Formats: sequence, structure tokens, C-alpha cells
Amino acid sequence: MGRTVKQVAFLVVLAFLVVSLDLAYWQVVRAPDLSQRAGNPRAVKAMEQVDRGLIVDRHGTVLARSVRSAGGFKRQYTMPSLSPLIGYSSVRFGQDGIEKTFDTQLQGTAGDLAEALADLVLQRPKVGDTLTLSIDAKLQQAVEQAMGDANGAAIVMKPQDGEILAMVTRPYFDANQLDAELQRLRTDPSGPLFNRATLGLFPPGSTFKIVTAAAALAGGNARPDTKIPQPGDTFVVDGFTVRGSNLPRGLTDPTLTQAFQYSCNPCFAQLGLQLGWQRLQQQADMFAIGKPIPFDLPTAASRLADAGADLSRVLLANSAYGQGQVSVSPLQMALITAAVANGGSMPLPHLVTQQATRQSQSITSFEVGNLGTPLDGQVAAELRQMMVAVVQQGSGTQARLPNVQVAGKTGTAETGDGQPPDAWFVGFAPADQPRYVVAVIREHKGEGFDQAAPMARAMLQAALASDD
Amino acid sequence: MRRAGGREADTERLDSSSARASTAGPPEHAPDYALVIVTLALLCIGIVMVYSASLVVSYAQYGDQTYFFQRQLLWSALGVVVMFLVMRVPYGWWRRLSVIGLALSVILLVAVLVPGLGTDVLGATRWIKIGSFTIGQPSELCKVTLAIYMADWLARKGERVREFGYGLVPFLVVLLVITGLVMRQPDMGTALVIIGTAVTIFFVAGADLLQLLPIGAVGVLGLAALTMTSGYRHGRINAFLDPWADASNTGYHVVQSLIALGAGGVQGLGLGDSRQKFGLLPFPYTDSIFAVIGEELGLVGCCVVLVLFLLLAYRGLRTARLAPDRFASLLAIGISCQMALQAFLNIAVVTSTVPFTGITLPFVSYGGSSMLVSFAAMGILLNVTKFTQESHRHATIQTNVEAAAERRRHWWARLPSARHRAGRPRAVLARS
Repeated sequence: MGRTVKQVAFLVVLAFLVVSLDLAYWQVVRAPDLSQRAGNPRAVKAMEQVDRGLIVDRHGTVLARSVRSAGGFKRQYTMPSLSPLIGYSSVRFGQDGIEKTFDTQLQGTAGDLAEALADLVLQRPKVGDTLTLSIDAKLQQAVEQAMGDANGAAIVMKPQDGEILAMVTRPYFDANQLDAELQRLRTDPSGPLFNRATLGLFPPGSTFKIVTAAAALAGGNARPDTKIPQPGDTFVVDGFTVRGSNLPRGLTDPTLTQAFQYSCNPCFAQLGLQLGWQRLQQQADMFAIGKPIPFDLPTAASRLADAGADLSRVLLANSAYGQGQVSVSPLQMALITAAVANGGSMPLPHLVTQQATRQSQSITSFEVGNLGTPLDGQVAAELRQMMVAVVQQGSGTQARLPNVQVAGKTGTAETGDGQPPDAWFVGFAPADQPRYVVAVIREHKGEGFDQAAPMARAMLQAALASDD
Repeated sequence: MRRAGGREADTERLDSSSARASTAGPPEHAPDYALVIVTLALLCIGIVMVYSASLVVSYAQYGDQTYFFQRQLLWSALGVVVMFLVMRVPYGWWRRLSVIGLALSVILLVAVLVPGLGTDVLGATRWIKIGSFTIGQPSELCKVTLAIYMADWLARKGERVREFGYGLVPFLVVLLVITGLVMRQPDMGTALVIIGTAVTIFFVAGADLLQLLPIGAVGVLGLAALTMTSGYRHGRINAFLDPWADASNTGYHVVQSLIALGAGGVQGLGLGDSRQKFGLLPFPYTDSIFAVIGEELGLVGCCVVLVLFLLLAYRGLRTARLAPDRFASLLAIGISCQMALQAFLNIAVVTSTVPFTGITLPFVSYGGSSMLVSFAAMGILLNVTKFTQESHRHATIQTNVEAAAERRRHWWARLPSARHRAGRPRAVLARS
């Protein structure tokens, strides 16, 4: 009988082992997922009891904090223009933005066991970790002011490590007013809840000539001083007329640099045809166009052409100067510019630089990464010279700064809806030792040279002033 | 104890007669205090958790947040008294009452189905009500009386348990009658515990594995048939396979339990801090109490409860091994397996390891009948622990060494044909 009793004991142990494994599965593996399930009312209740972590800018300025209110803690945000980035953490509406991506850290659930036990014993509210953003609140404010009344997006980034110093998207919302406003915001046709800088896809217009020029230089199809074969006011491809020569009167045999500098569409249409789809696509792929950019916030994948598009010569000619079906996010353009500024390597953009416990006993820095090297050093240097020329005496002179050499590229993108074009500018400064990359789009504001370049100038000026 | 051979069957007869005479039985010593402590520990956790889990419902239904808590305290006190009283009753006495006990249980089980006597609670008739007086749940009582009956009956049968007509058929008839009545209420959870307990006793008593397998097959087919014919059981199976498919209806209970577990995580939200008990978790103080434990005390608290039940099962099974006679041994097996199985079912429902079925967590859940019966059963088991023979262990080791060769092919020994090879004269056994 002893044997059968042992067998029964074995079965009992086995059964209890199975339930304990299941318990561990639900309580450890699935716990985060279970507590975040939509319609889980207790998650919401529990959320209110957490003294959620601070979100501060690179200089320690508080951007988001938790304040005690009747039912528990409530979130307070200090800079409405950052709402599309920081998002919100609301009892009613859940979470979005950085609040969502870094929810675990902000809730402090990633903390150590000893501290959690102490909290439990002392009945202290759980205190979340502090997140430091790469954002510079002052610069953010300056950029927001420079944006004026235009809808659109603007980014200031450090080219070496991809730190985002300012990211403005307009219109935006105020996360403090969510309870009253969200219903209206959701139906607002201008999309204030939508972060244009990361999720907006726009035709890049002439700023995309950086990609086309890069493809030509890297493929050996042209040198900066190569003459464009058939310059003219227009260029006809399979019955489609490309307009917008933009060349100064009297310049009849432009080089690639000059075509870039003055932003000559017929010249780039020709160049595009010369390159072919494959070469252009290859260069676009190297710039990570076609994939969502890994980032602390959701990003949209930029694209050279729609999926399943008819890859005609007309479309190729148009794509070469950033029209056709090319659509890019402002963040994507900032990264392409950063690759030129960096001498070839494209940084991994990031917003959150550090996570620290409230008393800063432990600080974790987030790793800096890199999205590959889309350009070789020679090509990057040539592109940089071409971009300097744009600001020196081309279409981007309004971005010029008195003591610092600025490199850039303008863009005027037709949106095809009968409205004025979107004005673009991407650039960096100082040109020889780039510290700041900017990318601006002001929707339906007209020409890049006078609607975006001055704003880029203001942004660079503010950025350069911030580190003096 | 090794399986009874002819001599053991004789000893068995002696044992039972001595028990009847209530005279010189095996030497009595102190009960197993470990078992007492484990039981009281579970009770303490239970009292605290019942208060925490029930206060919302208590307040909502009775305007007094301690309504269930007070009753649970009363039942607990009564239960502990019953346990210590029953512990003093020599276990042999229960043998004499085994048939009466089972008969009474069957009568009550039938009575509960009689319209007017049985009270309908949530679509199941489990309580007997006379006038305004409610007498507990006969199905709870039945768990213990059946265990006593089975232990007595199978101990008497000795080796003949293995005979198809003498062992298996009567066993199945009794089991089917009881579970049939329980299923009529319907009370799937208790039926499963009863079946599991009875089969375990039958198995340890030396049942033929080859005979038990068909029972298993029939049981599974029967359950499948019941599932297909009963809408609510079908819903429960679907809810088990994908609780979130119908989270507001059939999957509701499971989903709310899992949310509670997930919310608790490793450390739990803290005692009293369950959110799920606020009207979200059905029956937070009975069937779902483990979910509340998981939410408030986390994986750590859950593991404590699991370990306590494992300890309880271990001490119970150890008692079975060291018990002075076959009846005591089978009784100990029956009671400890019933506790372990019931705890397993209750917890496994919360973790969605098995499809939903309502059953209480012994010593922890709120409930008078369940509480009293569990404590009474523990009292019986504790009485058996007073007569355990430590020397048995050494004897067993000795026998184990001697029987090492036989052990290696133990499962042969359990096959009907192997018996002849082992040289045990069947005829002698049958007539002895």
C-alpha cells in the first residue's frame, strides 16, 4: 500500500505543480498584459493610487507630475505643446505617448522587491521612476513660437546621438484638458491628437532631392560638377511635363550642385530617369524609408511609392524631386539630414534618455543606437557642400545665420488638393561641425524658401543660443 | 503497508473486531500537531480573507460589512470545537456508522431534490430548507460519509477488490448513485471531488489498474455527454478554451479571476486592496476567494496557501502510510485526497487550468456546511494520526529492500495474470 500512497502523493504534487505554474504564468508573465487590458476597471483604480514618476526635460524642468487629488493621484502637464509626445495618463481615457510607452517605468513596477515590500508595509503609495527626456523645454517653446499659426511639424535633433531636443506638431492639444476636450479633439478634422512629426506622411518636395543626389553620387552617375544634359524650363517625359526650373536667368548649363542649389525640378527628373527605379529604391532603403523608425513613440513608415504602384517613367521622374507618391514623415527627413551632417551614419532617434528612481539611487541611461550608414563619407561631404551652397546663394538664403555656416535644403511640396503647397526646410548647423539638425514642414503655407527657411533659421539660432 | 495478502486480510478482520470492541487497539499517542497547525493556519488565512473579500458584498446586502465575517467566525469556532471533539472519537467508531452515514446522506441528497424542501440558489438546489431553517448542504456531508463507507467497505474486501464482480461493480454502483444524485442538484464540483476521492481510495485499496482505466474512459465519455447536453456546461468549456471570447457572459467569472491574479502580480496589491471584490468578481468570499488572495497577496500569498495544502496532503498521506490498519489507512487517504482535490479544483478554476466549476476552498472559503464537514473530516484524520506506527516506516523500508526485485516490475504484479506468476493462490484468497 505504501507504493500506491506514494503514487497518489506524486499525483497530488504534480497537480499542485501545474496550478502553481499556471499561477506564475498569470501573475508574472501575463500580469502586465492583464492589468492593461481595456475595460479593466481595477487597473484604472490602481493607477490612481500610484504616485506616477516625473517626466523632466534635459535640464530637469518638470514636464509632467502627479498631484494628489480627491480620489488619488492626478496627472499634471506643464507644457501643452509636448502633449502629443508625452501623451497622457488618464483614468478615463487610458494612456498615450511616452506615458504609454514607459508606463511600467513611470508606475515604478520595475523597481526592486525590497522597496516594494517597504511600500507595502508602510502603506506608502507606490512611487514611479523619473524619466528624463532629451527635450529642451526652452527650445521647444522657441520652436513652437517660430511655427506661428501654421499647421505642421518641426524637429530639432542632435545628429550624433539622435536626441530630440524639440519636437513640435501643430495643432496640438492640452493633456490637462482631456476630460473636457477629448470628444471634440477626436473629431477635429485638423487632427490635434495626431503627432505629425512621427506619424504624419507628407510629400517631401525638393527636400527629397537629397536622396536622389545621394543615389547619383554614390552610384557614380554624377559628380557635384557634372553638367545636367538637357537643362531647360521644362522637361517632358512620356507626355508629362515637369515644371519648376528655378534656375537663375542666364544659367543654362547647370552642374548637379547648381541644380540642387536652386532646386531645379526638370534637372532632377532627368537625373531620376538616368538612375532608374532600382538605384533610387536602393538609396531610399538605405535611409530606412519603407520601415517604421524604431522610436519611443509610434512612427509611420515613409515610402518611395505606394504598394503595388505602377512604376512608370513618369512616376520615377516625379519621385526624383519628391513628388509622385513619395511620402515621408518629418522625423524621417530629419534623420536623412542627420546622416549627411554626421558624415554618413544615421542615428537612432530617441526621446527618453534616462530613468531614475525618485531619490536617484539608481539611474539607467538608455542606449544610443544607429540606423546604419546610408552614405559613405565622400558622398556625405559632397552633399554637405551642396547643402551649404543652397543656403549660401541658392533657394535657402533665408536660413542664413550671421556667424555660423548653415547647410540646408528647401522644399515646396504640391499636395494635389488645390491648396497652397507645403513649405519644407531641412538643414543643420554649424555646417562643418554640425550640432543641430532641423526639419520643418508648414502645411499649405506656400514656398519653402520664404515660409520654411526663416523658421529653420530661427530654430537653429535658438538651438545654438541654448548651448552657449 | 503493502497490499494485503492473505495474512493481512486476516489481520484486518482482527483489527476491525477489536475496533468494534473498542478495547486494546494500537497504542495511542499524541496527534499530528503539524496537521493541526496547517489546518489552523489555513483557517486564519481564511478568516482574514473572508473578511476582506466579503465586506463589500456584506455591506451591499446587509448594511453591515462584517455580516459574513461574523458568521464565518462563528462557524470557525464551531468547526474547531468539532474538530477537537471528533479527534477524540476513536476512528473505529466511524466504521460502525459507515452504512448509516451513507444512507443518511443519500436520503438527504434525495430530499434536497424534493420540491419544497430543497432551496434553489442560483439555479442549483443544494440546500435543504425546513420552514425558515436551512440545513446545510447534504452534498458536503456526503463527501465524508462516502469516504468512510468506501474505506470500510474496501478494507473489508481485502484482495477481492480486484475481482470484477465483487470489487468494481459494487464500487461503481455506489459511486454512480451518489454522484448521480449530486449531479442532479447540479453540483459538478462536489461530484468531481467525490469521484476523485472514491477512485483514489479504490486505487490504494489495491484495485486493478486495468479495471480502473475503463472507468476513466467511461467517466470522460460521460462528462463529454453531459457537457454536450447541458447548455451551461458547454458554455463553461468554451469559456475555458477562450475566456475572452465572451468575457461579459460565459467567460466573465474566469476573466475577472485572471484579471485579479494579474493585478496581484508577484507581491499583490496589499491586504484589503483588492479591486475585483468590488462587485466584479462573483462570490469573492467562497468560490473565488483564491482570486482575492492572488490579487491582494500576490503570487507570494498564493504560494503560501498552496504550500499549506501540500503540507496538509503530505501529512495526510503520511498518516495513511503509517496507519495501524487498512481501514485507517484508506480513511486517511480518502480525507487527505478529498482536501487536496478540492483545493486543487478551487484553485485550478481560478487559474483557468480546468473549466469553471464552483467549489469551496477547504478551511478558507466562507460557508457553514463546508466548514463543519471539513473540520469534522480533519478531526477523524487527526484521530488516525494518534495511532500511527512509526515502526511501520522501518518495516516498510525493510520490506522495500527485500522486495526490491518485485518492485522493479511492480506493474506486472498488478496485472491479473501476473498474480499467478507471483504465485499467489487465487482460490485461497477468494474463500478466506
